[in-house]
Amino acid sequence: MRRSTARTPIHRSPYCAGVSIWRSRQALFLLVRRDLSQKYRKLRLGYLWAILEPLGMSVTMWFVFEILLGGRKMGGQPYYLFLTVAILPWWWFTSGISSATKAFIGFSRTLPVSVLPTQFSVVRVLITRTFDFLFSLPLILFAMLVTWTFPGINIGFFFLAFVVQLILMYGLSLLVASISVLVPDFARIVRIVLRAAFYLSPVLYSLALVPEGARSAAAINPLAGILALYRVGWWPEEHVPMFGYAISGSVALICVIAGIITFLRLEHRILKEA
Amino acid sequence: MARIHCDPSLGNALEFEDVTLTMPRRRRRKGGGRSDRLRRLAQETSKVDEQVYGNLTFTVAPGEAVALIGRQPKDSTVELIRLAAGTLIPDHGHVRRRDVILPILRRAGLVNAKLTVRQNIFVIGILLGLSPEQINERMDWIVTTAGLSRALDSYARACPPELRRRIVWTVSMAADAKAYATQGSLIVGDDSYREVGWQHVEKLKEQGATFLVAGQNARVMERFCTRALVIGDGQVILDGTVEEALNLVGRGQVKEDEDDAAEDAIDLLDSSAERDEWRAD
Repeated sequence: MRRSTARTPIHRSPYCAGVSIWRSRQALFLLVRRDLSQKYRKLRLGYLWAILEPLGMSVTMWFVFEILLGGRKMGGQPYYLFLTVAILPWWWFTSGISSATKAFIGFSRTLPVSVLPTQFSVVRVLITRTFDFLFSLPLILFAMLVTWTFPGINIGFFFLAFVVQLILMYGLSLLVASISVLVPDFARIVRIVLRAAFYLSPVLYSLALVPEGARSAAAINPLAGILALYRVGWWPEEHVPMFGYAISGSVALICVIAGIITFLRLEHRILKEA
Repeated sequence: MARIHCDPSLGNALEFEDVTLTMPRRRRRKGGGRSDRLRRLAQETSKVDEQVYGNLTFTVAPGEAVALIGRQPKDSTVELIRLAAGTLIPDHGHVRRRDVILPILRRAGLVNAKLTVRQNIFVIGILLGLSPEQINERMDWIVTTAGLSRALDSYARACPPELRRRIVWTVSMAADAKAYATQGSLIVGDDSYREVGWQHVEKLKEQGATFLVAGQNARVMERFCTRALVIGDGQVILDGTVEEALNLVGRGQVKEDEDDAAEDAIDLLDSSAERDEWRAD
């Protein structure tokens, strides 16, 4: 038996796959719309849940860390707004990655007949979660009104952070989705890692509180840089030094490349499992 | 519409060169010993890679209608259809195709019960590589051919499996591909509808479309196919006329595939991950 030769992915390059996903965008949005309505259909409060869940979480966290343990300042003031601005992207990140574990498994039955790129279902899950995130954005407005704090010109970084996070999540989703087809336990590992990442990322606290020596280590977490970018609109002092952004950014880039390469290498096995 | 790699300069419609493929199979655990007995009792399965095809080489000229027949029930032809269409990647070797080869597998379950019939046509069309404009353009043809005019805006939940099969079939046929790879769904439907199917398929063949036909009964293959390949132990063991192939394998052996379209319960476009498991941590 000859050694395994390089297998050609169905779509010669990520670029081709991108083009064909773009061509099928109408179906993509039809499916995303249905996914969303499906998710909220049975609930009495419907779409409000996209807002109520993160709201409940941010209020709880605010209560615990500001009222109960209020002795030490954890980050920018007002703390409630500080928390909300980071919790929403965090929510998006964690729900996106954990549902990506089922992206290929859940839609595996369409793979044998579909001439769309295999990545299609990952993109679909990601976009659904992105819409969830966008729906929850009014919460930030609400927090701003409650605390009567408004952003400065730096708010532009918010959109930059959004784009960077979207790209990072695409790469990570591909990685997580491909591996969990082959290793069923992987979904559980991802859940544990996400839980740990919640405390390791500066969601509840500001990166400025991390001791000087550990700060560049903390910046290895790409979310550290992204969350800082989300916040600088309100708290310019949240800016991580340029060095920190460079580290966060390059780790994010590595994640994306690793995701794409892993997917391309595993694509033939994912298709076999379908 | 070239989403899967095609090579328009190719002389043949399809070329398999030294294709080797292994597929993971679930296999009941065997063996004695206490722990193995327990595992057997628990119906535990293990995943084993089994070789499906070894160094398979053949070509299909444009306009041919090739019957693919397994020598024995274990000689599967589904993977061959998927390889041809490009929804499966061989372990070694190359599969080259001149045009897009459209896979039509027995998947009435592709119809999503929670969408309306119109939306379903849309989604299936997209899966098969049609653009939204093309689907709109062909919507009338699809509706009249499949006889959907009354059901068009109702939810597919209400459609009997029979109708679902027709929807999938008609949309695939509307794609006007130059080549089709079918597994048990060349002709679908009840008797009256089968005639519509026959007319359409034969018209396509006259226009020069290439067909790979697997999982059909002997009658269909005799009527439609111009050539037959018999696959045994992962090799082509006979390449000749349909008659020769049927003599080798035995008419009774060649049966129409059972439809894997389970009823309403399965909603294939749905992820089972509808329930949001995210917890506040």
